[in-house]
Amino acid sequence: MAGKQSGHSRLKSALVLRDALLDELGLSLISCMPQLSQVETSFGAARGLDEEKYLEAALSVCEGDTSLLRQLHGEVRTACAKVQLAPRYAQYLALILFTHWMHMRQTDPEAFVARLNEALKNHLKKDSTEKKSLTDFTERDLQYAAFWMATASGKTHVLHACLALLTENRGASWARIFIVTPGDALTRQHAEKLRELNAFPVFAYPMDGDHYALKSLPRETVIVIDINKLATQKADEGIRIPTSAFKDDCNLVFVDEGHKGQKSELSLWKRLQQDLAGIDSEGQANRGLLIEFSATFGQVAETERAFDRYAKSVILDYAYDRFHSDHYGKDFWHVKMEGRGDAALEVQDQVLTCALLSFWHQLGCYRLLKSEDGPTDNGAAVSLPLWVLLGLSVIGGTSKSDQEQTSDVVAVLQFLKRLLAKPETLAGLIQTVKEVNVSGTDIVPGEVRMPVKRESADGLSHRILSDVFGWQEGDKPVFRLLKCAEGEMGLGLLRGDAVHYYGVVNVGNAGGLKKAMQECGLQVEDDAFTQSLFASLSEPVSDIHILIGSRRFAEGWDNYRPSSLTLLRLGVKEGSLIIQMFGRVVRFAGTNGDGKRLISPKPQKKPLQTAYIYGLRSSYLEAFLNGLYANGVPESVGKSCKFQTELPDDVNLQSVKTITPKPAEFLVHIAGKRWLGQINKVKLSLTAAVYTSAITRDGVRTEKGTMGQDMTGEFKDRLRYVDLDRLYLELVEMKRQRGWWNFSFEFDAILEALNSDEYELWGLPSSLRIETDADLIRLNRTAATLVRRLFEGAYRREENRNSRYTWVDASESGIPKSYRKERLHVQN
Amino acid sequence: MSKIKKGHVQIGLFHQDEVFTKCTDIDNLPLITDPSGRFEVLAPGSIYHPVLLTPDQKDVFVGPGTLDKHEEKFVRDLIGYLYPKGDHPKSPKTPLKWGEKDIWLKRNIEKAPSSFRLRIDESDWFYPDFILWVLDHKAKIQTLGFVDPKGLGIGAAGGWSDYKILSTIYIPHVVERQLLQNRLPVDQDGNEWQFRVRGVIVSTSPFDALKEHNKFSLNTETFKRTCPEKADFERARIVFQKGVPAAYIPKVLELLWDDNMVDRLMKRAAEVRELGETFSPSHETDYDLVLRNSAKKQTDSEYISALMYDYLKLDALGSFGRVASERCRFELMKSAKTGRFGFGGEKASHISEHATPCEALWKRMKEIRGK
Repeated sequence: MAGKQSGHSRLKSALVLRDALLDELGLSLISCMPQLSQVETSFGAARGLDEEKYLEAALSVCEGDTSLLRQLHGEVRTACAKVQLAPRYAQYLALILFTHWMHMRQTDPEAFVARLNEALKNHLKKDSTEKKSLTDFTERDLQYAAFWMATASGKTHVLHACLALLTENRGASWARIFIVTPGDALTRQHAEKLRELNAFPVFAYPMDGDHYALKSLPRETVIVIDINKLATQKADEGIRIPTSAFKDDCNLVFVDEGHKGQKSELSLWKRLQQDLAGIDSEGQANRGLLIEFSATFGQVAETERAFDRYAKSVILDYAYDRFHSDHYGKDFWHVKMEGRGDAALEVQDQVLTCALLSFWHQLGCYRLLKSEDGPTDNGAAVSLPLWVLLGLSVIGGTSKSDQEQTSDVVAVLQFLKRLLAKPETLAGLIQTVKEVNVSGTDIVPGEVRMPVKRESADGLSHRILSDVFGWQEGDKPVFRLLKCAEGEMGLGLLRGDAVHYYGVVNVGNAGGLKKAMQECGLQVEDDAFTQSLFASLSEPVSDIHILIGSRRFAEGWDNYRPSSLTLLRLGVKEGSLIIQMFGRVVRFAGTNGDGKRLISPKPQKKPLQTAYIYGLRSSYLEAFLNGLYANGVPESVGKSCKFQTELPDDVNLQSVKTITPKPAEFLVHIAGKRWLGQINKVKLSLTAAVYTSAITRDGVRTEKGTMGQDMTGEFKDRLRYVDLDRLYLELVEMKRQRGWWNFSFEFDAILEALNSDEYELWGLPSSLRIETDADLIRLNRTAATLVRRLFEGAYRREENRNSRYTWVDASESGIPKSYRKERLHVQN
Repeated sequence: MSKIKKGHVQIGLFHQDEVFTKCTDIDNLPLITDPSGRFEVLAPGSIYHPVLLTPDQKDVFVGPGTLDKHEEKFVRDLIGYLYPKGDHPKSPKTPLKWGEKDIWLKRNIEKAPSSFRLRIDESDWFYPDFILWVLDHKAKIQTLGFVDPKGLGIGAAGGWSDYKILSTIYIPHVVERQLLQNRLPVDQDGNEWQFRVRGVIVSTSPFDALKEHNKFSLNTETFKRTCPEKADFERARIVFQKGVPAAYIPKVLELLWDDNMVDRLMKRAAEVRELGETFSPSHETDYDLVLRNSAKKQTDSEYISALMYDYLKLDALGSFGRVASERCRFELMKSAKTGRFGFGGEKASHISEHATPCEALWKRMKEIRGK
């Protein structure tokens, strides 16, 4: 692959442990995954396991010891039965590999490490890119395992099955079993799910008791604990428990959202987890196991020096690319708009307007579907759409980035206020969306463009204000801090004395936001009575359609409502957050909770199983999406074969070929303006770039488009700023570079070209502002491009005039001799 | 546990093949009418094999000349239409049969200088996707037909002045005129064959989506703009791809074989553009062509696309060229009012009822120039 790989594809291509495990079982991912997936599709997960269809499929491509596979299957089946799991095919394969790994590290760790190093050596022979990053396996590495699984692909179930496998196998020998979570919400969720299984005693800390109670628990109890409740040293007071309390034990530690805690400021978290698992413990008997689960190892491995460890500990990856191509989750449609400098504000308005239009369309589809046949269709359930705007992680902070992020949220709130205080604002913005010329792609999805085209801006704006915000004539927008719900601000409309809320801002520091808003002239009031609006999002009927917020809900928020996501200024630093939020918004309940989208949904259903994602400079998400299908280290298998010509014997098929003249055979001289009448108009676009991405069966399809309007007149008004002498020299250089020695031009041809009607220039209004030196350079560049295109036209026209068509026998009409067929064997 | 030795390669329960390590025996390939998941197929009538389809798998690449889904459908539909019972020829070097005529097919490879390609003015080269030779052995006529399935919604940015559309409608006549300067091709018995070049664009964008595009609107005899009908597109050699072969393939073949009034106009336009003042008009549309050609300096694209706007739509009575006639009549009226071209004193009713206003205008202008 050309260029730098994304963290995702880089890690994917370096998963040495996974490949070694597969190899030991005589399996290859390329042959095995399609077979297993086919079983799931044909027979379903339950029959796949119980009727041994998975096993049969794996055996059919197994080049190794089939009895070993059978034995592993038996163990996985028992474990799945214990945790009531009918594993999807990827879960099944992950568990088979994990079981094998578990046995190997127990029976003869030394020999296993030697074999893994052999596999590493072979890997580096084939692909030496990571030679410096990948170190040899040591026995310490056998204390780590990781599952790289997409959000909603069922990692909790795999965790349960691993727990069953590890406790079945070593039973009472674990001194303690921990599930470490990133916060209380996930602690509760895990404890609840474990209790439902009724297979393990569970203790959620601190909900189920204090640390004295914790210490006296029977050893088979699964302790669910938030990482923030652990400390390296004994704390004076409070609920934090020092890991030293478990130091001399051999503990089994599961870490959910394992990517967290890699950043330097959070390295403490990693240390806590490692202490708990006895990584590097001096006594062999105290060395436990640390098993991590995350959807975003790829993203963190890249930036946070964990690459080597994850390459050597990921058992199996079922990241978003595979998950999506197996029809899990929603489809998505992503558009990124970029406007630099002064165009940035206009583009921000455009992004928000387009996102609002798209969300409104989803809302309309939902209501239509509900009025027709209820929110299910062929069993696939859809949820009331929710528009999530994500633009910050810290509110009210003092660093430059914190302030920028705060200002993003404030900008959104100002936007909403403008719409609701002066309804004609939205009509104006929609009119721009209607009129703005976008070529190559669009700034709204096709299904949204239809109503935008059909209806007047005025009519649309009234419908949107009413449908999305519940707005009525006379309503006044208000922002109110909810005193009963920490960190929440209600977005409402005041009608008489009553406030009706349509959205909620949910941030860490609502006070900081209030201050920032007031500085920008937005009034914030208090509401002492309204209960949490964020909590009300989970209710089946809700008027809350907009959620503006932060990482507070990025993890462990079990809600199918997010349907549209608008990302404001988020950069690489926010990578994991974006991916997690992306995971939330593409979650789909599916049919009977299977998580799968319908392959051919009805038109009004399609927008509800599609996530509309809008971004302002969201280049990280774009890179992530492209990285999903980037090919890691491609190793291709291919063959060139000959075409076989089968021309008729009894008739001479004739084709036509063109003979173009050599430069020596024609001369082009342009002067004055006469030449301009002989060529066609040139259209030059200097418009804002719009990128859209959507997943198709062949991977991520990214389309690039442009947005702008005819600026020819404005450009001509600025011709006096064009440096013609410099332009002349540039064109002479172009002529030299192309070897057009048969082409000559007079100086006046440049002037005439620029003053002619033979070109159109399209761009954003701000692209022709002249305020700085950089603006001048840009203007000159534009002029040079236009003249060059016109000169090229004149040259090509003459070339064409001297071209000839002639007969040629069909056998010489460009029948290709050979073709190439190739399959990329991606190391994934 | 020691590393397990690898045994023989098993084939898998579902599918797995050696497609990528071996060249397939061409005779054993499936037909394009039922590819069975293969990307190398046979297409009856093709002058080379295999025909390559876009693979279903995202990690598979094959080329050159891979057919996309619309192109694949076109070939399948062509065969399906000609052989609705599925009894198409199976042996190589056998043409498809369209009544008495033979059809040979070639996937045209783009960006190869010896491939069939066309251009207008200074445009890029247009490489149509397919060549369909239609041969009438009895009449000894060989038509080099070219067909290009294309999404015109985005694919023809310039509407009626788009270079691919103009290359399809107009350039074949320019090509024919140039070819006539050579000897006609002969068969093995030394018989001369008439040689034609005609093309069709198969629009993969549906008609309903296209007709509203401003870039495809047409002029009416009252000088208003109106949406084009399907028949207008067909006159411009644009046929809409449909689900059922019989719904569009016959029209494609008909256009390749029979000329319509627009073709006859284009043929004359090519003569006018080449001969200029020496062209002798003999019909009302000829006069219009000459008048337009001498009116101002313009590129071929400008000249032909202006014709498209005026001629594609028939008037309410189904007459061809009415818009052009009315334009000439309007000029006559204007001239009569201002006394231009030696006019003066003519009755308005005489001009408004004039059967051949273009001819009248041309004659007046010629007379004046002669003086």
